[in-house]
Amino acid sequence: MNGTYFNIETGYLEGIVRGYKAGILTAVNYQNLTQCETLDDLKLQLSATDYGNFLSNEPSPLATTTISEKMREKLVQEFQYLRVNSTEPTSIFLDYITYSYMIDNVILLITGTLHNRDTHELLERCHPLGMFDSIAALCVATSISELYNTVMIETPIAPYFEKCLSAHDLDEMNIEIIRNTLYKAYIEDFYNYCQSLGNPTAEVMGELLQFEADRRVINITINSFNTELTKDDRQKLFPTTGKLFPDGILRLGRADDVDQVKLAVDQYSVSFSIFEFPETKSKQEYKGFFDNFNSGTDKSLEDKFFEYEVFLNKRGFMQQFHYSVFYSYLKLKEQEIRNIVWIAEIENLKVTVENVEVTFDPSIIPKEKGTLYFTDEKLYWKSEVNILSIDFPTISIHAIDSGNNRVYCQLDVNPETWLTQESQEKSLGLEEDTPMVEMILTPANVSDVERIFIALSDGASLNPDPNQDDSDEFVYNADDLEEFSMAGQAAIEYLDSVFEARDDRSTELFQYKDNVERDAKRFKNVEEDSPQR
Amino acid sequence: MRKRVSQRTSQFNIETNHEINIDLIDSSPTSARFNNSFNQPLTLVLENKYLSMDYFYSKQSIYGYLLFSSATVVTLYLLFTGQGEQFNIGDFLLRTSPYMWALIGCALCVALSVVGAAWGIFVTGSSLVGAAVRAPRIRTKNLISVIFCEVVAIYGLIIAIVFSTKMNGEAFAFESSGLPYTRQAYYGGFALFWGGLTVGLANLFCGICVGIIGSSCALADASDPTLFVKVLVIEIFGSIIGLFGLITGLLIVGKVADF
Repeated sequence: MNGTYFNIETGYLEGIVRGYKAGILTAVNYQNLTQCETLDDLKLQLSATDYGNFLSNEPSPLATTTISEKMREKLVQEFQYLRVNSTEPTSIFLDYITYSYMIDNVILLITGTLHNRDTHELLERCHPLGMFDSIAALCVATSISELYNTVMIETPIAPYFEKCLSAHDLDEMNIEIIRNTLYKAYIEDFYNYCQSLGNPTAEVMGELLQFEADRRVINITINSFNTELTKDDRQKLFPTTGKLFPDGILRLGRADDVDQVKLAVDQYSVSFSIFEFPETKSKQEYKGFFDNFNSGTDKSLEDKFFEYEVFLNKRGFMQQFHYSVFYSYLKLKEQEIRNIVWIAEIENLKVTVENVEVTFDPSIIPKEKGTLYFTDEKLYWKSEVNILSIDFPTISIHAIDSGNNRVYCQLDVNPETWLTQESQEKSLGLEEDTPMVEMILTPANVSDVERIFIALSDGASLNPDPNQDDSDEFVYNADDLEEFSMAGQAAIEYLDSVFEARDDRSTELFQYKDNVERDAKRFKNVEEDSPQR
Repeated sequence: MRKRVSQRTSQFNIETNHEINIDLIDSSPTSARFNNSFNQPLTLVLENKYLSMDYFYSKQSIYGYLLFSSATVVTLYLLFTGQGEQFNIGDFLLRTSPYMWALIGCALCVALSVVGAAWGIFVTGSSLVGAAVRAPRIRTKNLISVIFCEVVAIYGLIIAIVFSTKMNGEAFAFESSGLPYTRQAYYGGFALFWGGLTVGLANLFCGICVGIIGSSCALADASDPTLFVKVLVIEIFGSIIGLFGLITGLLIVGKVADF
């Protein structure tokens, strides 16, 4: 019966969104994109697709961030068009979709404020779909109840916040708990709303949101191993709408390691037969991506989640007269943006250095050999077990240790939390008062030392650290090193002095410490200011 | 906590907001392994909306109660005041004019057909307009779906015209026969009423059916042009339903003499 009434309000928009969906890149498009050698080729290929000439106004040296930003902008425009043309049931449904972005933005701002980041920079990072009027005011809040009373109470996600008002301090752990509590409330609410819309929306969306809930349950479980989170607290974070409810989440709530998770999830073999946990427990962001890159076969759990999500979303389009197409379209498009960014990053690979031994101090990852990949924005290191992605701004010092033929780097990251957090926080997580990580790159081939060093210098000059204004003296521009082979010796000597200087605890490092102290003071001032408001 | 529970647990749903304990140990195939860790029962608050009292106080049920009680009051009033024989359906049918029945039949025939056509056209049209934004090539081809819906209204119109030619003002009988109208007139009036209803309903559902398929046809054509003809075949089958109504209407009216 739904077909008789659905088109009154939503027929036009459904036609539009299906038209958008037809513009999603196909396997042939991806084939062409992977053949590209530079980002300008990529731009040319994309202009032949539904994206059109969305990059035509960009200056020629394209960055992958620009591409992803522009693609996201286009997606948001399309979504806004749907939103302003929609009426009651559709508009509520579309609003529900934006709530998850709101939650992400709120968490991003809280985390950023906690780490004393610049408000404007944080606001730029926010997803445009999750913006609301008073979002900037989030940066002044210091406690969760204050946050709720001043800002959140006027937003549509206020009812979700009520459930986590008991958490008082805002620290890393509590923010993670708040985020998951919010998501739990959101998913349950959205699920119930979809059920109230009746079939086939209830059916298709039910499946999608059940999967979303299950994915969160599994992710929370795996990520909470070896953390302070107790099992009872963990159980409270699980959404109760998934297929794993109630039996499965009870099991997962008591699981101690990945094997138990696997055992619990395997019971639900109908829908979760796709989960084959990889041998290694590492779950770094880019694992599957680089596996495919080197024509490996093993896929990470996250990739399987993505794959299954895409499968469900595609299947949503097989039925007509339901609201899930809007949700599915957004999710598919986001996956497409992720894909294109990955492809762009591969094409952006400036330098590849094979057979590099990487040592960390403190040794968060055991000493291993792998391949280094340099892009404009990031440095990737891939071994047989691990994938690491490091933003250039996090590398505070890099220098050649000419005596041992190796490159020394200092990373501005907290060794305890660095690898366990999700990507978003990883790039944010510059805790100034914690010890840094030392990374020593030892290439098997001696001549690679210079290549690594030049690539690191290029990367550092392309990505100035937004926090450190006077960090220039650590960075050598590529121009300075143009004729490296000739002027190289002098540079190396200078770098040696930097390297030595670190051991002696002389000027440079103290300057760095001064920065730290100054930042800490600024942070205190903010804390003192805020309760008065 | 409003929660949909699986079939297995719903048998505990005796009352709303009732706290129950479900022991999960027996229900899990691998209980042997987990026995120690699963000794604590899971407590759920269940609520089943179909068992709640809200169901009996909905707006629709109140209308139903009102209608039923007022009908009962009228019937009992007639019965106990000695006017029970007024409740005579046969007498009512004999005394109402056949023209009323025939004209209601014509009206229903046109009205229901037009509603069906309109319904089909907006279902098809809104999808067609939306899909044509990104794939303009579909708009001319898919006009055929709109035409299929429109045809349904024309069926209704034709039948209504045929019906109306049967009425000539000759229905009044001689006083000696004891009935107000002639036998042909009674037959004609009832035949045109039910014939009109048949055609109208057939066209209404035909229009909805063609409309929904037409909407799917537009969307399918927009995403894959080869699908157009395949969906169109199904649409043609749908549009034949209206033709059935048309034929039935013509057969009914064939036996009716002018009245």
